[in-house]
Amino acid sequence: MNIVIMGCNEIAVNVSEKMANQENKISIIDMHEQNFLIIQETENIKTIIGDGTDSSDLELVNISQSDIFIALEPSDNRNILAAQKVKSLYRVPIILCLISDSKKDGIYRKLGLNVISSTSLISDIVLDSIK
Amino acid sequence: MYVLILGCGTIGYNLASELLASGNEVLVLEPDPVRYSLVVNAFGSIALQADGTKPNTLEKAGVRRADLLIAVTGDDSSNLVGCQVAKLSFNIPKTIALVNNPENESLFKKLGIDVTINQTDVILQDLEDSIPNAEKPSFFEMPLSENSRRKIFRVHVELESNVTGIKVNDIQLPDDTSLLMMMDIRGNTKEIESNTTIDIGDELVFLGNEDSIRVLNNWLTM
Repeated sequence: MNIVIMGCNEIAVNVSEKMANQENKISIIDMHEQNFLIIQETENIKTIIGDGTDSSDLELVNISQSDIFIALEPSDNRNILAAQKVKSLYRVPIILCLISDSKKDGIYRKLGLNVISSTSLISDIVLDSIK
Repeated sequence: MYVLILGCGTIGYNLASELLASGNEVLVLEPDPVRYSLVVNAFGSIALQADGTKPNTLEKAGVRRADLLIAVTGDDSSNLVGCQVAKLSFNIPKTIALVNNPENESLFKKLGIDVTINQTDVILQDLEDSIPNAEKPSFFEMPLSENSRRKIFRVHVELESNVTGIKVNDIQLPDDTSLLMMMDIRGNTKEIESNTTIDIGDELVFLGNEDSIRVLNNWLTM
């Protein structure tokens, strides 16, 4: 599978290192070169400096040939824009979108995005453990 | 009207100023402290120093009774999300978004933004308006049929054109060329008679070939 990750953070590194192999090729796109310091490029993990909300940069990572798109940047809004653009223009089968504002995640679930809600996930763990 | 404005750059600031002057209630949402102070110092307490794309912020700003949200930040993702949240979560009647990256315009429309303002288009339009007339697209042509050498073409008589005031009879029509139609500045058809005068803003529609187009266009837009 071809997997595109927008935003090079610890989650991106962890997911890439666990998934990358002969079958799964990972491309990570990030606007800031220094964010790539935490990852080692390999035969199966490529890093590309670019704006994942812009079509011409998305085409650099062959977005239309991709099976999975994961938006992991720190900005909810940029993740939402990129996820909706990739869904609407490139019809990538699986799209995941990180949203930290728990009030926003419901809105975008209703619109059909697969939302990863970091705040809800961690809050639930906290609430469960102090029950 | 109660209007929420997201982002207070040059556009947001001037919008706020205009909307207040015409008697509207305005609230500007701007997270940046410097831009926030600019508005407050100029217009009093009509701003919140907060991120207007957040549902909680919008709720505090009274989005439920707002008539319109205008998102004019320099960041397309904020403009999109601000409008979507106001619309989907709070049913605001109307949203307007500035589009910084032209490729986003059609996406924004598809995603439910009521009105999009494409900044690039606006600037191009301004540029076009400021270019001398000869450079303007005052001229339009289309083939009569596919592969035909005969074409229909239209010339718009501009302000500085030196044909204004002359009579139709004085147009030196090249061979194989005819004047089909004339319209005045309001789009009304003008009778073509030998003594009909050509006025500013008229549109002349010809039938001709490649060569006659070139000759007539040079002459009419000089």
